[in-house]
Amino acid sequence: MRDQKPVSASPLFRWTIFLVLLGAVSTWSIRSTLVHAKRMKPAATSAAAFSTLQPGARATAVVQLDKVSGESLTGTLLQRESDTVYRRTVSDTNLVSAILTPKTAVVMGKAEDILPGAIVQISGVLDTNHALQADQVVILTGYVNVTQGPM
Amino acid sequence: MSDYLSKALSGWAAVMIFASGLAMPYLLRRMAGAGTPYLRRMWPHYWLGYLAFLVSFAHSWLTMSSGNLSGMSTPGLWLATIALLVMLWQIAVGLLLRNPTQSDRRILRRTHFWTMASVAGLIVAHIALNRP
Repeated sequence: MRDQKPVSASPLFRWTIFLVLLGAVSTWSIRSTLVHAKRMKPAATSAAAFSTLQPGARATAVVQLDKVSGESLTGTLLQRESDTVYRRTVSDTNLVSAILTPKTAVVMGKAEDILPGAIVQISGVLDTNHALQADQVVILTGYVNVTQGPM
Repeated sequence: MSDYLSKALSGWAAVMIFASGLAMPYLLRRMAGAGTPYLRRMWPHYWLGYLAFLVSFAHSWLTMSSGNLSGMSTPGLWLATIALLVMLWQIAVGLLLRNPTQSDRRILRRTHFWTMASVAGLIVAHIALNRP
C-alpha cells in the first residue's frame, strides 16, 4: 500500500496558508492604519467660530491642554496650519473648557495621556457654560507639532 | 496625517517583510527544486532579510527625523532600536550560514533561530507600546 502524506505536509497547502495569513494581516494593518489616520483628520472649528457657537451645538477642537483637574480640562484652541502643524496663539477667545464624562471615548491613546501640555482633539456638545461635554478625545501628542506666534 | 501614514505603513511593511522572510525556510525546505540545493533555493529568505532591515531602518529614520517623539512610549522606541541592531547581527549570522562548507552550522542555525525569535518578540512589544 502506498504511503499517503497528510494534506498539511504538502507545499501547496503551506503556501496557501502563508498567503492567506499574509493577506489577512496586510488587510487588517492597512485598514487599522487608515482608520487611525482618518481620526487624525484636523478639526475645522476656528477660534472665531468656536466662540460664537450656541449651547447644544456640536464642536470639534484641537486643543493644547493647560490644566487638567479631574474631569475638567482647560486648554488653548490651536489653529491649523497643516495636517501636522498647529499654531498656538494667546487670546481669551482661544480658551476652551471641556468636561470628561463616563461616556467619553479616548482614542489613539489612554486616559493617562490627558495631562497638561498634551495635544488633543476634543469632540462633543457645548453646554450652557460653553464647556464641551466631550464624547471623544483623540490624543494627538506626538503626531502634530505646535508653533507659537500670532496669526 | 500623511506623516503618520508614512510612519505606520513603513512599519507594517517591515513587519510583513520580516514575517515573510521568517516563513521562507519552512516553505522552501520541502519544495521540489529540480535538484537545486537547499541553500540556493533559499534566495527569497536572504533578500527578504536584507529588505526587512532596510525598510525597518527607513521606518526608524522617518520617525526620528520628524523630531516629534513626545507622547510616544520611550521603552517601545528603545525596544525597536535594539530590534534594529539585533537584525544586523541576524544578517551577519545568516551570511555565515550561506557558506555551504560552514563547520559550525548546527550552532549557527540555533543562534539564527533564537535571534529571529527575539527580534519577533521585540517587534511585538514595540507595536504594543507604540501603536496609537
